[in-house]
Amino acid sequence: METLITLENVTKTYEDLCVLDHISLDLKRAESIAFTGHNGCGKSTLLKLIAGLIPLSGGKIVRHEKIRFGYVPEKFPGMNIRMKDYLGAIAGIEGVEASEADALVRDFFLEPMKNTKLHELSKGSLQKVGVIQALLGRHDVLLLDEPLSGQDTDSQNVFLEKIHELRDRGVTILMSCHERKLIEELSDREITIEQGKLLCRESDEAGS
Amino acid sequence: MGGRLRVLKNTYHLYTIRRRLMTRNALWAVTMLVIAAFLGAMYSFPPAYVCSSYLVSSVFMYFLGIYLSMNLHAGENDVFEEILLLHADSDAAYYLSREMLQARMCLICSLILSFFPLIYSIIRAGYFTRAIMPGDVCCGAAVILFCGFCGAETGDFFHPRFIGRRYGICFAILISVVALCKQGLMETFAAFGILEIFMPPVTDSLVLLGNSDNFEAMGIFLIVLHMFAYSLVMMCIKILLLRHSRYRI
Repeated sequence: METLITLENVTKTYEDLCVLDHISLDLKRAESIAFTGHNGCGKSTLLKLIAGLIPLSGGKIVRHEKIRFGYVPEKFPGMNIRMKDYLGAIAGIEGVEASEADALVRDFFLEPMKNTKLHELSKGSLQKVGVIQALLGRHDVLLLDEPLSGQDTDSQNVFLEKIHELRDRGVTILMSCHERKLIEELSDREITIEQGKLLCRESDEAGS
Repeated sequence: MGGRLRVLKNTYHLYTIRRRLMTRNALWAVTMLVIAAFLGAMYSFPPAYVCSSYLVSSVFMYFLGIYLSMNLHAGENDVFEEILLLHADSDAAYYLSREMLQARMCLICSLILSFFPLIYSIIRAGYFTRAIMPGDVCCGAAVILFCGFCGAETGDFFHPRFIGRRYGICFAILISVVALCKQGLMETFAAFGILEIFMPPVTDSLVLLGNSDNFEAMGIFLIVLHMFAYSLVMMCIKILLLRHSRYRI
């Protein structure tokens, strides 16, 4: 499998706290990796660094080609815009038909709430919107930060189904999660972040 | 060509999201109230001079631009903006959409401030010392609009991504005060001549007008051009800084 992104001695510090300490990792096309670890160990930080949303403190991240990222944040923000309008605009940006957004809204059981403003939605519904916006369009890498947070069982099953479809299409999946079911069902390998280092579960070797 | 079209299309969709976020937003209500209060105070005592009325409105619009832009960027949610940046796939589309929203708000406020005197002069004949001519409205509207842009870019320059909000407000006020006083400073201290380049030309039109009540078209055009250049430079520097500091830490 071709390498899409290479992390070389990546370090990230927040003031005096070193969250990620000289980590190196190759991310390959169509690979699915689950990052696990205690709260605050740097899982979300790692995903954001990979997406280029936050600056590195050291090292470098090499993207071997132009990469389109999809991102499901840990907490999707409740903003003052209707779900239908937001997802319709995102569909427009991604160059997909609005009907694709409508279909995802129905699949995730959000049809009755499509005219509701995001800040009026429940936590689980808001997270579903976060998932839907990431599923719209054609991405090379999908970054999932605790994507199932607050979601009902039926929606979780729909989510798993959609991710399997993306994997079949060759999309690289990088997720930060705690759910064992998600890790076992979706990931090729599990990497634990501990004291700023990566521990690859499969081989039980430090990942750098 | 396809790439440019895509950028334009994405800019439009991003702008649509931002515009819808502003629907029934308290910022609009407060802004309209402030404009109403200003117009009520400004046009309370006849007779009023045509040109100076417009130019005082332009100074007000400058400060309104600062207020609008600082409130807009204070209302930005980092996660929401990150997601938009990733979807946009083009920094140009993302930053253009921000500028478009700001420009739209300035345009709406400027239109109200520009046409109110004309409408008021029709409703209340004899309020102004002379009839308002189309040239007055054009010159006045141009100065008001571009003063708004200057204010918006000044306020937006101090974005929370690279400067704390309190410091941002202080710096915006400092620049504004210096801009208002620059004529006096330049006359007193020759070294302050550099302010002519770096400060927004908010009061230049008032200096040009002097005791007259007629706009000098070429002079106004040059001042508007200066305002446009100032806004453009501030916008470009700001975008460079925002690109460097994508995330507010």
